[in-house]
Amino acid sequence: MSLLEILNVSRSFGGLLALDGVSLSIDRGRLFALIGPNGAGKTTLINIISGYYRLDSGMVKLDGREISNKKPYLIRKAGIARTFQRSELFSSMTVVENMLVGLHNSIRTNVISAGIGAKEAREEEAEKREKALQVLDFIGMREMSDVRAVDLPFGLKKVLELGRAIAIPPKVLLLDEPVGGLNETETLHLDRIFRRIRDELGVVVLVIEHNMNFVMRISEHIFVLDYGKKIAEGSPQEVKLNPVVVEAYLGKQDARTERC
Amino acid sequence: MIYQQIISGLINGSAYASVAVGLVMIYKATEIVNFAQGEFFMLGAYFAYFFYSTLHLSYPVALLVSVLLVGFSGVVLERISIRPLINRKAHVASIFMITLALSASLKSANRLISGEFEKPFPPAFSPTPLNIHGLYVNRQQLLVLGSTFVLMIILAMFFKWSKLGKAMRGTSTNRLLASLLGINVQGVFSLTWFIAAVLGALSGVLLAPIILIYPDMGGIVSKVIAAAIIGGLNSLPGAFLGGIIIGLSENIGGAYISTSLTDVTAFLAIILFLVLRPSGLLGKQVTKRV
Amino acid sequence: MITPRRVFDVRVGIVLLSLFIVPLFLRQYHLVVLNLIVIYVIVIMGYNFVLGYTGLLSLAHAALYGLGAYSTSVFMAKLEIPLYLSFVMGGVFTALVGLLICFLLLKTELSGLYLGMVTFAFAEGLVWIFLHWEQMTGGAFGFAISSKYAFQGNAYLKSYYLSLCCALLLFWFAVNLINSKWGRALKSIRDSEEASMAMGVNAPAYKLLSFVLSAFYAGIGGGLYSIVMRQIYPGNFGMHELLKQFSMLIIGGQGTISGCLIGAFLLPLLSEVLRSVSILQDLFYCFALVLFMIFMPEGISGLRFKMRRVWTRRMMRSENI
Repeated sequence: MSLLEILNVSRSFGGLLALDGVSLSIDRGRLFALIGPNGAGKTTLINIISGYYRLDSGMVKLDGREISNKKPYLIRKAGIARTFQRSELFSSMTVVENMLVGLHNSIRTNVISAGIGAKEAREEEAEKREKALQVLDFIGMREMSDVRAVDLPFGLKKVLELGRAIAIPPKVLLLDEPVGGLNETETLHLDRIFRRIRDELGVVVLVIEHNMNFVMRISEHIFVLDYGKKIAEGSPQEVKLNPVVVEAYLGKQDARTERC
Repeated sequence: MIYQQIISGLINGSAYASVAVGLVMIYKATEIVNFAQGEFFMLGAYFAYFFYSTLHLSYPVALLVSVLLVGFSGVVLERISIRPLINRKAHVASIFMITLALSASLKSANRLISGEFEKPFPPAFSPTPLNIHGLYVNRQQLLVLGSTFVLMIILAMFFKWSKLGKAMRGTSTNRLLASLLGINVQGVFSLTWFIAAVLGALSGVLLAPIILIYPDMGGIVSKVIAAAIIGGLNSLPGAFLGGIIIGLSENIGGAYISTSLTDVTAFLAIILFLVLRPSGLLGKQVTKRV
Repeated sequence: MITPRRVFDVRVGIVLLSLFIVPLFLRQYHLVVLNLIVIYVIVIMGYNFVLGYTGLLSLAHAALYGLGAYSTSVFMAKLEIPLYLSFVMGGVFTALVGLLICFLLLKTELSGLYLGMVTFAFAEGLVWIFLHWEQMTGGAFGFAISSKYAFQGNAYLKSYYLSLCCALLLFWFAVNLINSKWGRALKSIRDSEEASMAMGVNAPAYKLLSFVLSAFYAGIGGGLYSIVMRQIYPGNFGMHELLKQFSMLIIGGQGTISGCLIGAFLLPLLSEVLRSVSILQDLFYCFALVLFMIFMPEGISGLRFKMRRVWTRRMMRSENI
């Protein structure tokens, strides 16, 4: 049984059909990619899976249980984490504090204990802080733990965003353009972290990306969307040679401008 | 008897409507709710008092000068206090707060200059009411009604047909696109505030002979905000409608139910509409994009 | 930043000691001024929860403060409930009303400008009730608590110590909460509500929590106010008061506990200095607020953070990352 099933999902925005009966099946232990020209509906699909948009029809199932239309924080609790296309770090907080928010669900202290400064509260806080530093280690940012997130250079912001999402290892990780705007070195750095996430943490990753080199290099199975429909899927080799995919990217270039 | 209430309601309502249209114009252009809109109303009345009663200029001249002065004050206010926050991409809620602070500052300043107490505004026309089909209206009231009506028509034509009006509509729909198309967005902001201030001041000057003027006149802003919300914050015709509705319900409700209730209806209306129907009667729904 | 550990510091100890001892030597008038400052510390900390940390524009804070004052007065003078119980009940009652307001607003997602306008309407509505429900509140003549219900003996000194103890307790609670997952969750909602939900933070619930908590602080502050002044009027709790509280928060520095302390101490002291030119007081608050919002929106405590950030930025640049 697949881990994450997207079954016949459709969604329109005021008459414009953004997703038209899209079905994807995501199993364990692999790294998936979701590609397609601009406006194909990739981010919309991610937003629906992670609970930010409602779907008009269809279903999303995780581990056999339906999670359609649930609120984003409940979906995170169920085990699906995500990052955002634009850096959505908590700018007023430091790196380690950002990471601690990532650990939010794992902190059990209730509000009264926290407020009165009870011993268990303080102990758990220290314990979680240590855990946050460990995750920072994993992504190679431990030395910067007290830097304000807003002061980080762009590349490190992306890395932190990724680390924050896996602080509590999810079952599925949805990444919206994680290497967008990064140079080769930074992209390779993230590449390494992705592989470790897949291998050491056993997290299933679904990446939306436009950087084709990155996608071809790192993914094992690719879904291609165009105009809200799934037009192809398969291994990187298969997809690269698929004429339908090629046409979607190259052939309809002029039509692309109508979409914005 | 009720017809008299309706007339008074329409008159008050058209004054509210004018000010409300100004408020909504600013909201549509910048997503800001300008709490100081009531202060334009107050300034209009007080400037007019100064020019008409103290300097003994004629009423039309006093009207014109006051309205223009307040219009320019509006632009100055926008440039000095609002623009920096917009440029900083401050939250609209913060900008709302600063308009609240500005409104309080203007009120205190006026209190300092003009004193605590109400002043009667000398009548501009003969106060004897005209008798139209058994209903009594005096000339000033007719002026309020008539000028609001004319003003709304002029505004509607301006937005629909003039180049400047279309530029303003474009800016309020999509600021980035407007600037890319070469529209001077900053200029549009200033113009918007100018017109909004003029609308507020005009109501103030026209209404002044009918009511007493007092430093807290800006309190009308609660009713104006309620009017805008009832009509729909992003709808100019809605603001007009909302103003009329508030004016009517105030007068009719006040006569038949209780006068103390009129104060609180505005607040109740705000809560009810924002909770149950945030887009108002004529406004458009807005969906969030992540 | 003020953290629980840093509170246990010698300098803090000295300040605390003086807060306890100095009042014994103060004249009644100054004692009341100090008392009000301590009450404002509580009130502004409460306001900081909802506006500073969570980023919700609530304009109802002054009215909730008034609700605390009126409800405490009613409990004490009409229901003859003992003083110590009354003001706690006042705080809880205000918190419950805050909860009620939140429930009504759940549909609107409790954010941004809409929240500002709705809380504004609620605030004015509450003041209207203070003014018109004459049976309960005394209407425009205000509510006076006769001395048999208030503190006996050295009433002003006792009121002061009560306020001080409450302020210390609530301060301790606030500092602990802010440095825990609860405080972080609130800040994350302010910085990026979408991202915080993606981390598993139940944003609507936390917003509700911050609003109710701030209402509780406001209510306690109001209750203490009515105990000290023993005479309250509806006009004390309207937009005028709201602007005062908002100024204290913004000028002191929103989003930080030190900001609350600065605002609560500085502004009342300054307005005391200006007491001789009382008409200017009003203008002073509003003007200062406008200036700060334009030029120093992070407030006085924000200055310290700005310095640190400039230093960090220089450091990062030199390390060539």
